[in-house]
Amino acid sequence: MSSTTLLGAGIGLRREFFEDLLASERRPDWLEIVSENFMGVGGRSRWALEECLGRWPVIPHGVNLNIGGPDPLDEAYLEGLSELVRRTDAPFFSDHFCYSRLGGVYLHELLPLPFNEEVIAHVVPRIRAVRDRVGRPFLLENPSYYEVMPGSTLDEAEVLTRIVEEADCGLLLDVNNVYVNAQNHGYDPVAFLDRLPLERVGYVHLAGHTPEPEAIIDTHGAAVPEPVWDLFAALLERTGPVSALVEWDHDIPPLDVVLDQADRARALLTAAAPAGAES
Amino acid sequence: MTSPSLAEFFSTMERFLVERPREPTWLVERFPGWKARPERLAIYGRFVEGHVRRVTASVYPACRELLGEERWDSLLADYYLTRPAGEDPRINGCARSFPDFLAEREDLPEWLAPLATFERAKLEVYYHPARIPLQPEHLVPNPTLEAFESSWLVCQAYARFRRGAATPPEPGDEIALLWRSPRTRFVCWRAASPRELLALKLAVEGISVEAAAAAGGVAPADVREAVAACAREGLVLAPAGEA
Repeated sequence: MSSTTLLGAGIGLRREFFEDLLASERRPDWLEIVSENFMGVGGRSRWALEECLGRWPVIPHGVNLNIGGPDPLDEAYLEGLSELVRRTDAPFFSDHFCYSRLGGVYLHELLPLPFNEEVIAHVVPRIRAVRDRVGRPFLLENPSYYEVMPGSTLDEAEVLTRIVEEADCGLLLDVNNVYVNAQNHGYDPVAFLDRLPLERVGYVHLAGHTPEPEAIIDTHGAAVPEPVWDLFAALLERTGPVSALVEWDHDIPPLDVVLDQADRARALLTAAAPAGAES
Repeated sequence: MTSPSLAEFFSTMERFLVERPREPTWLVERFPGWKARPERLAIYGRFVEGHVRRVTASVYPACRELLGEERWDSLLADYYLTRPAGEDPRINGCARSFPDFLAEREDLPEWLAPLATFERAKLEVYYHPARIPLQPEHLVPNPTLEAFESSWLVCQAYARFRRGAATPPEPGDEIALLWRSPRTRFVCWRAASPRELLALKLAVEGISVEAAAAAGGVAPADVREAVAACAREGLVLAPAGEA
């Protein structure tokens, strides 16, 4: 399988869902796991992962690869990630265009990088090194950002495009992040999509956000809002069916609520498929 | 605007986010000409410290409740400055050094660090990477077992907290045992009694029931029953047919 393998509509595997998901008659098409939550752990987490691996494709999605950070790539982390990717037999794995560690300390936050040539030159070889080390295709996710960082001489679309093309990796396109960024920084989200190398989209994230006084915050704590569904539909008009994943990380509702969101995503994928094709 | 190098950018962000919480205006002023909105930058400072606060509160709920919100908030502000996240990429890692941080403070109740050690052990046991053998060849201790001695009765205190009647641990010698249930995969805990210590001694040292009974001057049936009770709870693991 390649980084554009079509998986359908999936959900994030959260510990709140372990038992309910395995007992449910409703089935997402695939699952995404937060890599760090399943690296080197036993107990319920490993049990749930092993049970799920027999039923669904499972894709590791990390938050602490620190692909843009100043520290060298963490060899112990890469060993754990490689083992997880092998164990899940995932066709690809992903993480964010950001930094998450400074001075040897993990900050557990997806921190935005400046948009400039130096960042491109810094990140591209690190992506290649990670992909070669893990041995599977890598997808880079566009993050949300609440302020453009100092030293930026390019814009986000140009930097993302340059990085994924020069690194020859896939794009995990977070549609909610596109919407949130467009609202927070005052640009047209559809025009933003049109500037990205959409042929490299491996899968899509769909999530909810929270309006706060200072900005719209990418919280993953609510249902996917209508404008994000609309933007997803606009994306599908350009790409045709792509794998989609509903993220819900805070204020986690009953499993059925998240599965309802996945069903809606699946319906859009089906509608986007050419006549006679299966999504 | 002067364009900082990436190294300058990271160095400044480290001072902003890690070394000591600073005002967002401080960050804006580090990059002359940067048209950043301080309230937007404050989001990041809030998030980074918030992760440490949220995870630490979730790992140490009894400590938090017994300290009270005001004291807890003040303590967490100091804890954050110790760079607790460290080198563990798993988010729970940012709570791991909390008992050690408490043990070094002289302005806190003496029972707090032992209680935090207990709560940390609960987390470690829950995620312990060991596989629990369901059919061992001989009697063995549960491989996820954590045991620690304390001069405070933390197991009783934690049980009271779970019942919604939290009061601080009382003084007294205790060996706390925590292990992951092979059946439910949740964490069991208990203050060790002679029964648990006997079963563990047999499992760890490979002593036969008969030898233990002879050494202790008790009936083999009593020893066998003690081991079987501990095996039913998963503290020790017995071969099929022996539990």
